[in-house]
Amino acid sequence: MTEKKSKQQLLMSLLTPLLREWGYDAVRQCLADLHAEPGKGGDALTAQERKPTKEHRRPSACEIVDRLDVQSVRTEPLRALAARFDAKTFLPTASDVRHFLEMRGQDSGPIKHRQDSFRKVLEVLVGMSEDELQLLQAGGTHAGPTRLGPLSDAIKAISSAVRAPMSDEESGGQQSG
Amino acid sequence: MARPNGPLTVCVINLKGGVGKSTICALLARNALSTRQKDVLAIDLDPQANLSQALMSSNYNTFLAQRRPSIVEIFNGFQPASPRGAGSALAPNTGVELIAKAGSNTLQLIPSRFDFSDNLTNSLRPDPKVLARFLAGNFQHKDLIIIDCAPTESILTHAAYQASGLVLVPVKPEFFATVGFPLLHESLADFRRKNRGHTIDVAGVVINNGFYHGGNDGGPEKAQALDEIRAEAQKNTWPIFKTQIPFSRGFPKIMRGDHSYSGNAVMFPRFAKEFFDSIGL
Repeated sequence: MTEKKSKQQLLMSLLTPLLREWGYDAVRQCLADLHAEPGKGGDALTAQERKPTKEHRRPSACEIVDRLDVQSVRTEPLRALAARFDAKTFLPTASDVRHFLEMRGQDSGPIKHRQDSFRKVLEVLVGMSEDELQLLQAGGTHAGPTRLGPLSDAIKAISSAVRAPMSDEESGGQQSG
Repeated sequence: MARPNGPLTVCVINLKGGVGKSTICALLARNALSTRQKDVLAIDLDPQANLSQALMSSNYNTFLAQRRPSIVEIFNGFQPASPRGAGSALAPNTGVELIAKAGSNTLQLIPSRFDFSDNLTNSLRPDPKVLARFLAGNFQHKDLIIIDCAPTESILTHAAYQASGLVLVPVKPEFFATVGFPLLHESLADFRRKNRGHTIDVAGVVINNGFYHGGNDGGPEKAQALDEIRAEAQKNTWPIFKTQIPFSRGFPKIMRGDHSYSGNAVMFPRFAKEFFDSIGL
């Protein structure tokens, strides 16, 4: 929106001195002649038709993993983590990426875009043992800040199981043991 | 490579709650792995399990739900039976969770669970040497073992002393926090009297400025508390680390697993360096 507005302002600032010098009709006629004449702007594309400048599209984490040449046994956990990275459920922020890398003795360097940092993350993931990959895959240790609600629910859910009252016999047995 | 004399084992304790024990434990454990490239085991001896929650983050909920073994089973001395199988003796890796790996080194954790307090509330009396035996038998390859203690003296405190050679004492410069000093001194003196073959030294006291920020650096109350801390420490021949831990809103965020803001918490490695240098890690 801002870019469009600034382009409009630029066009107006260019046309204003022309209109002042030659007047509206002369400028309009000249524009029409130019538009009709081949090679002098007539075959030029209109602003709407102009191709946008080629944007740099960042490859997704999954695409990066797909291009990777690793043992097929490791592809699946890597791809699962990459999918979670793309979905922002694994290392959801650049600061999570930084912490993840630093915890593993890697220099994170400046991270401008989280998506760009996946290559560094992948280097670490590729060097991980399978149990570590599984830990990350299963646990989501970096899936964002911990919240009290789920922890409270987990405590309530297992409390009766791990805290079943002891019978007198059990209690006495452990006391004497 | 393992240390020739086995791991340095440090218990982090002050017989006063809220002085930053679990936060300091978690950050020292991470720093030892990531910055010092050491093989680390952290042990949560507090039924509140804050160290476990800090290191395992949301994985801790899964750990609870799956009823994976914890410090509770280590103190019980066996893995109880379950619908999936019979009970069993403790394996070397029972109750050990992998937190992070850097090269060949790991940060592992023996997590705590809320029902660990049953060891205190019930009439059960666990053997305070159980933990020391378990560590001596299974973790000689570690460089550092760091134990987060509960703030009240109990059989669990004695278990931490039995397993440790060094004590780190965090303190906040405010009156109630300083009251933990004489209690800790007496607790250690009592332990030494009863365990004459065991040498346990206070590595030092670290000032955690958890209450103070803003313009006047805590004002006269902090100054008085610091004077009292220095006098008590000198009386007990406990060194005080030069590097203080600054106030930062970043610490609770980091403990929650939120790394979006660190604030002054980025200065923690300065203390970690002084501490690790002092104990020879």
